[in-house]
Amino acid sequence: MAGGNTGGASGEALLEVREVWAGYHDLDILQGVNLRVERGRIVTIIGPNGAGKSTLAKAIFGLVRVRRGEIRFKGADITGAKPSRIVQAGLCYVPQERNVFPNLTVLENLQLGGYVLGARSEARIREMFEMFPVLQEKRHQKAGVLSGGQRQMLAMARALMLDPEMLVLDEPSAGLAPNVVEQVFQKIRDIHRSGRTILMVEQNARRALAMSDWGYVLDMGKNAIDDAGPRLLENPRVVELYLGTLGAAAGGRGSAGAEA
Amino acid sequence: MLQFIANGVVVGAVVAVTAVGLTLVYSILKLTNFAHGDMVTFGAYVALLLNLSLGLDIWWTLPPAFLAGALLGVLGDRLIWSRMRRRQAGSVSFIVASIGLALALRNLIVFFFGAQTQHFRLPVEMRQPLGPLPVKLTPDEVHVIVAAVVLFAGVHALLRYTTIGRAMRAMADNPSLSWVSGVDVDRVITWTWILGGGLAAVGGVLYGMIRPIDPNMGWFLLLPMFAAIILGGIGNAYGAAVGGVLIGIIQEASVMFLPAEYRLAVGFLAMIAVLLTYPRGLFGERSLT
Ligand SMILES: Nc1ncnc2c1ncn2[C@@H]1O[C@H](COP(=O)(O)OP(=O)(O)O)[C@@H](O)[C@H]1O
Ligand SMILES: [Mg+2]
Repeated sequence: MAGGNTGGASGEALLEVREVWAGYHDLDILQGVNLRVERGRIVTIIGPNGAGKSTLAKAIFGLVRVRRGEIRFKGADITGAKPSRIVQAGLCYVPQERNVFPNLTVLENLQLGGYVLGARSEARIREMFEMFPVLQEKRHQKAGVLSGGQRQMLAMARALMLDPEMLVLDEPSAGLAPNVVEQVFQKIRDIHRSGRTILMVEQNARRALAMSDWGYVLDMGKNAIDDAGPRLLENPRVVELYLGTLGAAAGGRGSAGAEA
Repeated sequence: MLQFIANGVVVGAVVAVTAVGLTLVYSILKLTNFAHGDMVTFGAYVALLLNLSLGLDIWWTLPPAFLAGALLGVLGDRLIWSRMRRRQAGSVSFIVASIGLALALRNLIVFFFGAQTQHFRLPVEMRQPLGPLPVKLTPDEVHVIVAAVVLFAGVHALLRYTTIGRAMRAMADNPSLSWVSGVDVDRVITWTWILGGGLAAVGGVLYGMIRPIDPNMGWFLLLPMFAAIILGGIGNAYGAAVGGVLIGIIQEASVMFLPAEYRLAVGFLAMIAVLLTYPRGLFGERSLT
């Protein structure tokens, strides 16, 4: 669809998803999804539960098979590429759930994030400890015993180990207490300010869209609407159809409800 | 009583070595490998061949047996398991295939070595009980225990302190996150089979030192191996080792009260009794180490 390519036609597309069909077993969850993220931007995907947002993130990283369409990063085709190749190209990922190794220590989690760096990962780990001081304190504890917020910080730090140009975050604020949500968004802003491009999926739509250059609404595996982040927030269709239901859906889990 | 415990520790050491390999394969590859027992048998026959035809001292057969077992494991993965993974076969298919592989291995062994019971050629003095000890143990039995401890220390060091070991634990913990962390998954899988197959084969050699060798020896060891890993907490390598020793002791101790044929059943009953109290095993099933 045309809307997928209007994400500010001026800049260079760092990540491009073109007419992607993907899913589990024989069921296509994504049915011709388009997405374009320009270098240096923050882009947010919203949409109801089950819309296929996480499936799209997994498709980008080769965790679900892309049956049709194409995914390009920095102009190169990465459709179905090995995840190790994708992360080495500078595109890293914080999954929605299970985004740390619970039985490994904090330090070991970071070492795993820097697996392809070999010996060079030591220096990078020190940088991560500077950026996330709480992780240094907890470095010899198992990730499974961290609080929700600490775990999310570890998940981001693990994904930043390779110093990626672009980070994909799937619902980074889900299930966190309001003050922790604030910290997580602050970190995302810091990560963006350090020169990285951000693509995030968020249920906390108001907060996320407000800080985004561009926003996509995904529904039933298809692009519904996309527009500049703040404008999307004022779009009556989005408010009626998505922010309303999102507020209700997320309210049940106690995240975006208060804001909606 | 003490004597039975001593016997149990010897048998348990063998169960522990083999069960650790079984649990590694299970937790990293999510494969319940019923062919593991026959990989144990395979190791015993590799050593038998080297021991009888080349006259190699039994202790010198351990490294080649480990290598042969590792090779068998890696080969099995290349020929069978990797293909099934690529086709996203269901877990029942994997179990059925592993039972098929178990039968195939056993029949190959019968074909090449015959079905009769055989023995390693061991120096006689190794079969004489050691001097003034409260229990009767032969030097070979003591060596079996020492070998098991050394092997386990090696596995521990590898899992704890090496990059590949860390990646193996990560794969057991969260496969898709390892994948998107850039872990070389194929390499982890290969190492899992090197360890799993190698430990099975070496366990088979140790087993052959404390009992006669026949084509069914490994298959019948499956029951205590599974009991050990379930007892220790499924997928927990340390639990498997401790579970192995416990199962060995329980089995041997039961001989005081029951005919020896009931040994295996007693080990399994003990496991069920423990599970009724600790449903997740003695050490929990969360982590590989
Ligand atoms: N591993 C899976 N196997 C089969 N179906 C799945 C799997 N994960 C998600 N789905 C299905 O795919 C659809 C989209 O899920 P998902 O992409 O997680 O949605 P969202 O992240 O937008 O909430 C849902 O209907 C969900 O039930
Ligand atoms: Mg999701």
